[in-house]
Amino acid sequence: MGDGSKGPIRVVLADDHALVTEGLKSLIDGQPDMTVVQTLQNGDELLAFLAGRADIDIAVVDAQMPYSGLDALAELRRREHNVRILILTAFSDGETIQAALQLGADGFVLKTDSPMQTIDAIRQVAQGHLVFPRAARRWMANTPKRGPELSAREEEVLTLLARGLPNAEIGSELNVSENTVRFHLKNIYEKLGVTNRTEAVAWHFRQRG
Amino acid sequence: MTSNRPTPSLSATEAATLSPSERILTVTEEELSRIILDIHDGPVQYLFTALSLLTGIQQEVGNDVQRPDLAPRLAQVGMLLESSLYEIKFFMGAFRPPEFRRRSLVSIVEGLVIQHEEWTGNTVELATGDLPDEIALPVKIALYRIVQEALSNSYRHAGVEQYHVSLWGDEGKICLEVADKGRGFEPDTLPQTDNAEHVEHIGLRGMRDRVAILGGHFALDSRPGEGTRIYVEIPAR
Repeated sequence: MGDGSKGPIRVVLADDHALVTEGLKSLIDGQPDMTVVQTLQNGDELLAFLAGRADIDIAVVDAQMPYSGLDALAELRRREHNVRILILTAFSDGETIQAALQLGADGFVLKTDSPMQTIDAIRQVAQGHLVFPRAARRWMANTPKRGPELSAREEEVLTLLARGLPNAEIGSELNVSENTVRFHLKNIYEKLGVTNRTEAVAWHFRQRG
Repeated sequence: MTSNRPTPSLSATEAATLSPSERILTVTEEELSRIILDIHDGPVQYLFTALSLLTGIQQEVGNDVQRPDLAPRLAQVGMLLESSLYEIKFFMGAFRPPEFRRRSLVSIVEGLVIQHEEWTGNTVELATGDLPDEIALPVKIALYRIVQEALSNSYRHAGVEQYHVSLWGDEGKICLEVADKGRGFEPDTLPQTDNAEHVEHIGLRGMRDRVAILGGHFALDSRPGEGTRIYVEIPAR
């Protein structure tokens, strides 16, 4: 699959901006290791073209075209089509990135970055790598970030908790409602990986040595 | 060119439930949405295509010994096009409203946090609690813009790589806290004539104004060396 052993990476482009597909096609066809097999204008055409075909390595798909690229992506994954999909979009908002990842895209590149990044992403995706913005990977992997860091407010709540105050009194010390105290406590427990007040207070005293 | 066009203007029923100030805030977001989509459908596509074509040409003439002057000149054109796209990228990111009607407040704020992390490389700890089922459109818009402004302030001024956003519901109100443990400042010294300080002050005033229009409460705690905390409460309606 486009790893150099089977000839050039076979690419289809789907974007309702014909200019973009023309420009990208000319750039891709100028590369020694990839070729554009077809250009398409929307998600419908993409699905029809790919139906029953297994000879396409990568579809570069605009997220914003009619029958959106994201809908087409979802449908291709539902059909268990094995084409690799690189989402191309001008919008780097969290929702689009997250949707692309969750729907099973192999990569995400921006029209507001250099087209060479698209070319590099095609190569990487062809080799089986996932190509996504760094923040999205960290978000989706849900990995802990540099150990628990409490916000200043959470530290205040924990300090009062360690003094043995009940929620209502913590609330009146900090001028917030009991609900708000419970909200902070829940987050403190999650961050510290503890399940109750005693454990949270024990953590607090351990930290202070 | 066709794109996902923004949801049409306020319905008559929606408009009737909003005050004039709330209507203006909502309509402003819709206008922004249209402007951003026009930029998306026009200049972004043209610039990206121009760069694609140019890059192809650069690769063809890169080794042309007859015209060694071409490569640096083309590189300069490429740099200008890339700079334009780069500026548009941040403009669109900052001003493009998310789909406020369709998406939950939590999802909207999560999206903002991801984008901020991506752009800055910093880490935002986001904590969300239970929120009321119904949150009025102007409230979502206000909270989105406040989080955006507050994150931007922390990034530019706090001098730390990590900050906190908390969002939770409390007896029909939405509570928001954006806090960092960075440089902090003396809030009383803000209204300066110096231009940067002035712009900063406008950012804070914008946050206060948005909250005031919606009958909420805004608080800013900051001290030099002790970080900054913005706290907002707005009735969900």
